[in-house]
Amino acid sequence: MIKIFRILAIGVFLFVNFNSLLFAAELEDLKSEVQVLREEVKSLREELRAVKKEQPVAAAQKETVTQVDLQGVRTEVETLRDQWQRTLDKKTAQTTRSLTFGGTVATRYTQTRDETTKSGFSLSSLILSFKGNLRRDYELGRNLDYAFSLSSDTTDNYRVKPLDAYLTYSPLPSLDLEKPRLTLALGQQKKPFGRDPQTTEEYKPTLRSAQFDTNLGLGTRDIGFIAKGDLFPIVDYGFNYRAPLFEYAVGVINGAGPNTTDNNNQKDFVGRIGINAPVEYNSIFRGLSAGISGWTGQKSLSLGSGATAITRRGHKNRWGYDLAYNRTPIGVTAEYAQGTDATLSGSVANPVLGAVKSDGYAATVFYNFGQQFVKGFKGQNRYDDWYPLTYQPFVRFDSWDPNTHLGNDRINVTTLGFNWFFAETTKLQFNYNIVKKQDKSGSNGSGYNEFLAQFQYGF
Amino acid sequence: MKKLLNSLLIAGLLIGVTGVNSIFAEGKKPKVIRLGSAYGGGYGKPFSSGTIGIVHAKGLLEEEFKKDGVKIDWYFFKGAGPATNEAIANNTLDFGYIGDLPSIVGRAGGLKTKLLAAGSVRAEIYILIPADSPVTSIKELKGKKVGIFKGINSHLGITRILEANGLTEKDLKVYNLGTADIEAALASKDIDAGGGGLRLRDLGLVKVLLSTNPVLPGIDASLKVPIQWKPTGGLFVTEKFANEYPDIVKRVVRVYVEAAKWGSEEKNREEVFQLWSKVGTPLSQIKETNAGKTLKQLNTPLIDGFYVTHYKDALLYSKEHKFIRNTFDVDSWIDRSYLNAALKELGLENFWQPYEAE
Repeated sequence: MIKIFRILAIGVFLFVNFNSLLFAAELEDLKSEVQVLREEVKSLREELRAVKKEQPVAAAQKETVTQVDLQGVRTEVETLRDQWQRTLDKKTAQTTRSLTFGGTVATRYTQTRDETTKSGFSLSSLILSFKGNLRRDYELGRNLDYAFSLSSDTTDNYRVKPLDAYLTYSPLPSLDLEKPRLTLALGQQKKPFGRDPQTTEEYKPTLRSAQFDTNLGLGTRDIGFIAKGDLFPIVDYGFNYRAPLFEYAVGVINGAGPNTTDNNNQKDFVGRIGINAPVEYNSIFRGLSAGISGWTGQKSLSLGSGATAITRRGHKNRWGYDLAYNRTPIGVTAEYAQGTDATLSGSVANPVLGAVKSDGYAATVFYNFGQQFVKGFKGQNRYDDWYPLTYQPFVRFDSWDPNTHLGNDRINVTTLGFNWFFAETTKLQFNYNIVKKQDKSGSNGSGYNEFLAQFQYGF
Repeated sequence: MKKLLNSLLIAGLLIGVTGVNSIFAEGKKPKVIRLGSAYGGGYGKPFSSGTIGIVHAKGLLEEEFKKDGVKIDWYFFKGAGPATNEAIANNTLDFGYIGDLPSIVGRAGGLKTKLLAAGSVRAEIYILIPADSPVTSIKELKGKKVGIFKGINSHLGITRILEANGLTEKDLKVYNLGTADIEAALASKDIDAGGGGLRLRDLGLVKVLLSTNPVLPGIDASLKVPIQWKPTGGLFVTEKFANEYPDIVKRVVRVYVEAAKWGSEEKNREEVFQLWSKVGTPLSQIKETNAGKTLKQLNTPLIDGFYVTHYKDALLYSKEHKFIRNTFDVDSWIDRSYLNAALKELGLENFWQPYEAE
């Protein structure tokens, strides 16, 4: 029994000591593991500190935004809005409807040997224009627009007079390029006759209009109603190009000119039909067009003076045709117009109603060095105020016969010119005119040369 | 005097022996190289996306031609492909970076160009609708107002998507609008749908009705858009310039391939997308829309089997749908000589994986 107890005691002793030895070994392992972990934690803490140092902004951004902060931002925004509104009210011009405000100014120097004209500086054009929209149809583009402009009359001490004053309405949808278009215009506006008379100052290569334009009164404004439209448009989406096969314009006007009431009860009728080459953009025939125009009406004629004066009505007819090939960089235009104007002569007792027939023509050839007239080229993404520089030399021959029944009274003007477009709406123009007047006797006649330089800018 | 005469005689004989052309053609340089991109985005910024955007933003051509004193003029057209075509037609560009439809329309219309290298391949189309729109499918757009930028490369893909849903443009009220205008009209709900980017989606103003991008599915996922329908573009040169300055074209294409290589390395992913975001597209959206693509896929210049088939297919479709009146031979339009020379010179013949026609 004692033996058994001894053996058990020895067994317990050995077991306890063995476990102690095992525990001690594990403890050592654990201690070393803890040490390793401590080192890792230390290393991670250092890394974290380094990251925090590198990204202080990112850490700051993680801060919570409170309701108070939001309220502060809201107040700031409201304050800015009120300040902006006050500035807008005080410093900004406002209009009732949408408005585009612009103008054209041209300063000219003329050096001439014409005895009826003086050399020197002049303001050849002063135009202030306003245009905008009265009702916009976002869905179909059946818009109601307006145009109003003022011009100083350079022949009347620069007196300011209305130039354009009309409303236009598009009864047909105008947003779809493939559909025909129609606009109705009511008010004082350009007459739809020919090509040169309808070209605005901005696009005219020459400084002076063609003689037939001026002498037949084609380029002047008139008051009335004009419908303009086109049919069968050719659309080339690959070049964002649209050219209608037919263009038409027809109008009923006073025929008395701008800024005046009608001088008779009869109305004048004016119109033009044009045809464009039905081709795609890259065709050699792009820009080839032709048109025929007509204007018929009556004018009041008077003879004598005072109580014995008599008045009669007489016809006033114009017709013409035009041909153009305008394919950048080349441009060629040719135009003919003829006019018949009734005359009243003789005496009050025996008045004679007659007519004077006149005609004229002009042909212009120009070439563009530069991209001024390439539409897509001008629409670029740029930060600077870049604009394509363009140089446009041209030559024009302009002939006018004031009375076709009389011989040797024709006036021929040959113009050599150069236009320099150096900013979006600015150009410098030079014209050298060689004027030849036929002599009624049939001899060489007279003539003179003149030089004109003009600086034109728009805003 | 005698020496002078002798010198002139020797010079004359030399010219006669070697040929005038070989003396003057070598090293013939233009004063300026004019490049235009239709991928300028619609946001008014003078930058481009695509490989040409990398060439421009990193000034690689300026660097290449600095020693020759050749000026590099860049043009970024608001009117995208059609305006670029117009500029080429009016002889105001030497190189164009243009999408498939406008380049096909231009060539069919008689523009004398050569297709030099691929660019901006397999881009995505997103058809967007206002955020509160009840429309859930393309078919429901029938009779509705839809903004489409006509004439650009996505026009072709949108037409095909409509057709696959039994619609043509005539079934819709189509408004021909630019990218920024489509976004503005969608935001103001003046149109019911429009093709555009994802800028407005992140503002909560629009949602994607249909997407060609598998990683960004739209509401209407009924149509699995074939990869051949995705808009693709390329680098073009005018025949006139290529005939006059073949060495210059060779150098331009080499620089383009170098840019494509740099833009194909994944380590440059962040920088490439940052360069592209300069056009006005947010960086996050560029990352998102290209999430499933490698840079090699995005910037490959290879005119591979897929690319040629795409253009032939697009040409046929354009003719059938009257985008063009005349057709032409795509194979003779493509000039691989400059690209192959650049790949060989740079040792990149096997760098990009060509896509098969199928």
